[in-house]
Amino acid sequence: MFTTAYDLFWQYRDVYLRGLANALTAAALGLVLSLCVGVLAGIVRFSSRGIAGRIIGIYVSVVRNTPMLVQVYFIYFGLPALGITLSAFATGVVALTFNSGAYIAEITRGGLAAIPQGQTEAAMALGLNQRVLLARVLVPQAAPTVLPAITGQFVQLIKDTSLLYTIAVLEITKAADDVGNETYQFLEAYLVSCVIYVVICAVLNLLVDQYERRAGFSRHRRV
Amino acid sequence: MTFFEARNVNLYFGSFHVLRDVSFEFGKGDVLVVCGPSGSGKSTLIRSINRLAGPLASGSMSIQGCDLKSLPRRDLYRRIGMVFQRFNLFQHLTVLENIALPQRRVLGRSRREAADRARALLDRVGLVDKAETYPVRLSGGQQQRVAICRTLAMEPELLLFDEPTSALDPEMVGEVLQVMRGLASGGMTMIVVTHEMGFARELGTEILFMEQGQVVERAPPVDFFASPREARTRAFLDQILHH
Amino acid sequence: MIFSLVYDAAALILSGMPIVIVLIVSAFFPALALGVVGGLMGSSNSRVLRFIAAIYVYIFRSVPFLMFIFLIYYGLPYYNIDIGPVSTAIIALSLSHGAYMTEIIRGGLLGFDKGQNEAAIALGFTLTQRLRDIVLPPTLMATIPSLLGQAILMVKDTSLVSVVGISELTRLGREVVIRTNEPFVVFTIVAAAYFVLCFGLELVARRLEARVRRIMSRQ
Repeated sequence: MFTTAYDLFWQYRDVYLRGLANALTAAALGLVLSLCVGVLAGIVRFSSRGIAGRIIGIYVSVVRNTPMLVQVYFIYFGLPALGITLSAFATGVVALTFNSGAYIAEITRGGLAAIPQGQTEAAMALGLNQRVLLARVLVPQAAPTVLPAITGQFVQLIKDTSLLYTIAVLEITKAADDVGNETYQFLEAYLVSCVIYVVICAVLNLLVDQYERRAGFSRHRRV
Repeated sequence: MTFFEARNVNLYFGSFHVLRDVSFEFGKGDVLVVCGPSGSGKSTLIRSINRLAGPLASGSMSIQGCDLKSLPRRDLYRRIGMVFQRFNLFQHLTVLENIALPQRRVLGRSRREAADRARALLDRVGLVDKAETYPVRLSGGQQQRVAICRTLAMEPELLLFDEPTSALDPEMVGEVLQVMRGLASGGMTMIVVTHEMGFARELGTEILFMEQGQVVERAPPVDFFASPREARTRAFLDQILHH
Repeated sequence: MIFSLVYDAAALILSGMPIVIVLIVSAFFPALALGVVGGLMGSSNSRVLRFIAAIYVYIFRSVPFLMFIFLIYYGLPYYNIDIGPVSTAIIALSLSHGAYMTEIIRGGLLGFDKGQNEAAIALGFTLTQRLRDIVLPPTLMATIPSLLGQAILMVKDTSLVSVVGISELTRLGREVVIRTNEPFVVFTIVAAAYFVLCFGLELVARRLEARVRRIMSRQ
């Protein structure tokens, strides 16, 4: 079984590698975009008492309490209904952004909320306005707790790309499906993908650990 | 036959020589007090008796002629009990359950018998009204007294005390020493690691002074306090009695 | 007109609710059992056991659930085991979430007061007795909120079991959308159904957490 799997991989390596490339690209794009969306949303949620904060709260709650697949379908079927037609890949990236953005928003909010109230009080007593308070006092102090969680999010995104299988994006899981459909050796085909995921995650974890060592913090250790 | 004997006991933590050639013995009903500065190995010594530390690198210990190393687990723990510095009561059980559960599980006593014995012991230490309380609600002194009941319920031949009052606020030390005094006068065989020299002087049959893993001096309290032989002993006594 | 659409759609979609609940309930307890075993292995003194537990956790955290359910679906027939989609789904959910629960329980066990464990040893408790009476009860109580959080994740993963042919909420929703072409309405219904399940579990978790905190601190 394992030798068959290896042969299969070798024979169809371009399919698998294309799937891997797509998955990594989608995840990377998703991370960048969701960082923009999420960090902003998190800051707004943290500092707003009004409707903006409330809406973001609902957004986060919905994403956290519904399966990602439902979100993918919602976007996949919903965008065309609004007249927006995107490729499956682009739709996938939107879905990843939508999902990951909520988690990053929550992570950011949590990081900001964990800063002792005294910091805010001191800043206000010194007359610093809200924007300066956020930018110079709070966000820099939230960074050490937030950044490690965000790197964890990237690994999660790679796994989430597997869901794009359902909207026919050629990523790692779909690659296995295609190879399986062609050779009827489904188990071996999926085994290859399985190994790819484990290897990718291992590599990513190693890279992230290296990066964290340089940066001086760790997501394994509580700051 | 001596009740308990230790011969040339050596123990290492990794490459660190914690116990160096320790030897002593005592008889039934004796109270052996072990004292010394921190790091002297006194805690390790008694913990090695009931296998919470160890195993020994060389040497042997025996109780009533039975080598401790060859004693089956069940017998070892049935015959030797321990009272800890931090009491170690089971936080999720009531005081009564703390004392009753080990009896049921380890000794196989019935629920009723275990509870009755538990209440009797609690009564002896004046805590029977706390039977249904949870440990976290009790003071340190109360918890330690419950801990003593818990181990007494198992009816051990030998009781080990690992600095039983060191974690207590001063005003509670007395109530625990009182219980220990009762046990000693009642004929319980005890090894007590402690800094409480008053207790040592009053109830100890023999005092073992340890430093850096070695037994520096052994003597009955009268001699130990009045005329210590070793300079190190004198230095220690000065420190502990006159700071 | 729109009301009857909503009504019919909801009725069809919610017919998938029972199977979701069956899956959750059937998979939660095996997952918990795996978590306890794995957690105990992961915090044991044996390097071998710790290693095995670590590998188990690592693999299931690196492989997406969708991938894993396919693996089981195609893998079992290979060994001539034929058990049908529902059992496959339950196995996949149990194994996968068992790994996460392993980490949760391992964390709880590592934080357990060593002193109480020593006292239990000194009183003569055997290993099984120590685990059953002294170590596991407080540890499980303390980890219940996290374990129920894992149950919520399990609810969300049930949406993926449609790939092995189970008609659960999401798949039914997708079918209704394809038929009626009303994605917003339909998926809102689907999302609401999940929301109710997840939020319900979260409320249970909060209540249990409050009760646990009261127990730990009659105190």
